[in-house]
Amino acid sequence: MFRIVPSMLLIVPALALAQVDSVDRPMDSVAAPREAHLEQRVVRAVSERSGVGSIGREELAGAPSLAAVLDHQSGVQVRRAGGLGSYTTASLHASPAQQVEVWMDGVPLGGSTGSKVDLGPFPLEGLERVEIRQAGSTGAFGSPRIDLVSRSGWTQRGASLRLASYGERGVSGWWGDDEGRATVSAWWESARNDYPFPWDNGTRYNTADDRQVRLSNNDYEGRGAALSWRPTESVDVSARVDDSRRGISAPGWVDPAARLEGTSAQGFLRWVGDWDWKPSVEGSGKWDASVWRDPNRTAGWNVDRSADETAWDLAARVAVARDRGDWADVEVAGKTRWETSDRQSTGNAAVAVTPSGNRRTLGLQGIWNGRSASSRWGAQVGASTDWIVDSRDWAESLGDVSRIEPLETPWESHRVHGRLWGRPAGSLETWISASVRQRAPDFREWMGDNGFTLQTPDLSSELSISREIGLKILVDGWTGEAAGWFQTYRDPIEAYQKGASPLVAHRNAAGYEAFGIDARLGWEKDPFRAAAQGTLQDAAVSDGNPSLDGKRPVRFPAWKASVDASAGPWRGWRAGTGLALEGATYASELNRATDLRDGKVDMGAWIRWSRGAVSATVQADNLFDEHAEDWEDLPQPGRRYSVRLDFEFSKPTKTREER
Amino acid sequence: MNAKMAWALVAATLMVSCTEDAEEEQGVCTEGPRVLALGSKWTESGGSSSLDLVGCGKVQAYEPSRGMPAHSDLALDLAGGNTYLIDRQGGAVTGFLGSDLSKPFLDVNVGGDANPYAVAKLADHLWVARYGSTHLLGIPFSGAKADSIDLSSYADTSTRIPRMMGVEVWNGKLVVALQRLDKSWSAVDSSVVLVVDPATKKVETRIALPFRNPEGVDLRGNLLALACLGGYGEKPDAGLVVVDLSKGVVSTAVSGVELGGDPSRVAFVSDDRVWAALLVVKHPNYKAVPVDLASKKVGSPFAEAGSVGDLAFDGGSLWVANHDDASPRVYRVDPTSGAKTGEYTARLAPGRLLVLP
Repeated sequence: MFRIVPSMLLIVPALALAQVDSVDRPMDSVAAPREAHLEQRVVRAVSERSGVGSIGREELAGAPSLAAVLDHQSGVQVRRAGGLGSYTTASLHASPAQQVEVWMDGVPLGGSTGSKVDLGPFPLEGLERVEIRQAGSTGAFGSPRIDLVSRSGWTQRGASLRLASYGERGVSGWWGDDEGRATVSAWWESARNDYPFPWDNGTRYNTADDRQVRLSNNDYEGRGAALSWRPTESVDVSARVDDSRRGISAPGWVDPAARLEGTSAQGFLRWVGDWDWKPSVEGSGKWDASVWRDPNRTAGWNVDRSADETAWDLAARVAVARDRGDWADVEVAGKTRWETSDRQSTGNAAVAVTPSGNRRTLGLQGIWNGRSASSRWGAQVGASTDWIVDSRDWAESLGDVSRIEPLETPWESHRVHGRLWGRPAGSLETWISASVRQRAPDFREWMGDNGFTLQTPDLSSELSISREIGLKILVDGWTGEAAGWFQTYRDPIEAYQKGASPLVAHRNAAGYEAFGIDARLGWEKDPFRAAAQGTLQDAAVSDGNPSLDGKRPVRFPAWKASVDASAGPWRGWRAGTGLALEGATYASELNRATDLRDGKVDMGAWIRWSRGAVSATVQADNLFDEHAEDWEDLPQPGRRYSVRLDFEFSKPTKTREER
Repeated sequence: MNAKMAWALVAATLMVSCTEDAEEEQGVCTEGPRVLALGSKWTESGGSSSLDLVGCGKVQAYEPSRGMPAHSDLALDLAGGNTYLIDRQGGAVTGFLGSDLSKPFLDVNVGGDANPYAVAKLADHLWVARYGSTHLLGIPFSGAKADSIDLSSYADTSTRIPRMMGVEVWNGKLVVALQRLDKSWSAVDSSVVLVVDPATKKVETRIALPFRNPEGVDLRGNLLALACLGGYGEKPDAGLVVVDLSKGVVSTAVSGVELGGDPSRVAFVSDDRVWAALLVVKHPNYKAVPVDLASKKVGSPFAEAGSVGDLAFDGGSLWVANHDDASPRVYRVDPTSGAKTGEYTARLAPGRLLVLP
């Protein structure tokens, strides 16, 4: 089966290229009407912003987890530690996961220069949309970025219920006023997660003791609520509360008592003036409190028995932009941000450390965005600089943290970006972009967090260079997009396990270069829909150690692909299937033949019946019952069945977009 | 666990006869002193490990046919002339005939949380010191039911786990070193050495150490040297201890203050001279120094290795592992002069050394 996929990956972009001149259709019409959301799982809603992938509500509703949704996307590499709610990170175009910024409703979830965000505890029931922006598409201001948008029910109201394997349960509801000015949603989900998987008992030669084991203490519960309000055309307000609780355990690291619990609340306000030079003001605030408990097991490090953290993150941005669609469009912005973390950690009974730290950031951004009168081609050049001051009251030595007089460290981060695009035909868009980014260590990278991450005060800035060239086409019934990318990472900041403990610290690692091709292809002809996407990629580490130099990074597949197809509705019935594949990876940086681990095969199928406002879905995922590993010795759950009931009542008065 | 373990042992024993398809030891250095270097590198996904054979003036990758565990928490030991790879995280002990890593003859899990540290062969049993267990485990090579010796009464009372970190065979008895850390992983009480008769499962001798938290042991005749790290950070409870097992007494004790650091590893090069790896917190680094046991005089450190992970003596040369990702080297050193006589670059930072028979 694996041999088929590379061929398919070659065919997909070829098909796309073959359709270039068939129909001269304006690209803007690609923006999917509301009805098209119903089958976004099979018809990728190719955003009008080339290189930006958008995943809608329908696809989210049909996936087991956010990790699974992202794992289907080309150019995205997901690593997860287990079942629903477990620790999950994403990498875009082979970037370090730390560089991927994750935003929720316009509020950054990571640190000020981007840091790894655990994507595990985000219930899909609480999300309306997920957008993926690769480095070549983020403009002057951004990094590789994942935007999460809270569940909303503009002019709609409804509820959903689901039951699934491994004790999974979920319920959600949403409501929107008739005028489409306000929407409220709430969700709750939980899972036991104690899934079984085959285990060799750690003995590679002795197969007599191979057996099934079952994880324990991996229960998960997530809940939250979101509010969006648009009192006037120029003001947006949103608020969201999240809460997650989970047990932590793994084969070889069984701890029936380890818990990680967190609560966060955030708010966002934006005002945009409707003048020729559009002024805008944004402000956001986020508060986090988390608790880590591991009373029965410590590894001798001074933070691994318990830790409590309170963190604040306040940000503001003021901008003015000219947007007339000619060669003189510019945007200038200033921003500021204040992040804090106060923690009390206890390891040895007699030792309780209370590290505190904060970061103050002041940034300036400027971008020129020109386009021809015909909008056939255009260019974008931008630059941004952040001036950062870190402050901490602790020092670290051999894993011990001691209190010191407040110490301040200044940093600067810079990014320049250029992008040239053209639309030689209405159905074809091409672009080429490049960016260079010097990134200071993120607040969370040197400060650590409340889960497993220790402080690392001695990091250096890293440098990233991104280049991307791509094309997008739309031909009657077909959409296609392909992009080639080439990334260079120097002194990338990476997380690593601290000795034999479960704790993680950061370091500047050996650099690497990566390149690849992403391709997406969608086809639709009622009542059938199909979509395929894939990535071919490679990477080589530049390490002073000759045994590691030139090797492929750990858990880095050379290819991945997914195909989804569906049919319907027919008398209220619809059905679909999906297949996601991923190539083998190395479990060690030495890339030995014995380090090769099997790739992934994930096939699913669903059938749905709808009548009026009610629909019922029966779904199966991972039909081949694979237990792929993303992390060392952490097999994923096997086959999963789910049943879902949705009730949705629309009031098709004025849509939010029409207003 | 015992019933399952018995089945596993039966299977493991059968494996002795199932090694026909194992790779032959071809193209591997077989002459002169040979040292196996266990390398590791920690990453977020756990880490990588490697085995390199240092001998014949070169470094060769030399690993089990089914590869290395995908993590770094491993140990090496030699018992009864056979080589053992110990997977501390997975709780597995794999034995290879002689030094031929293509010929596994034992592969058994000694408990997922048991954290095996070291092994010793006595009669028809392989005895396993398990850091996370109350019992010293005896695995009969016959495949019979596993045996064990309860040492929980020698643990700190807050844990009941004695933290056994080493086991050696001496004079037909087992010599077990216990860290005796408390529930907070602190060396608040004395660490001890026990001499145990496996036939009666009785502790015949209990020797309290003047320093705490032994991390490295080396046996030479009747002398057992222990490198005691203490409570970390150049505290007075660290030091080097030599126990005369024939008399059941501590014959030499050199404090960390006298050494100029906290010792983590030790290797005899003669009856009255050892080399020790010292943790020097102020720098911080691990350096290797010679120590004259009679005079307690500390010689000049071996300057080239700043992160000494392990020491081994092959009867003529001292081998020094530099556990540094940026400089993953094994040095061959004249134990008398301290001069470097060889230098080898390992694939991953070497943290354990084993002189092969």
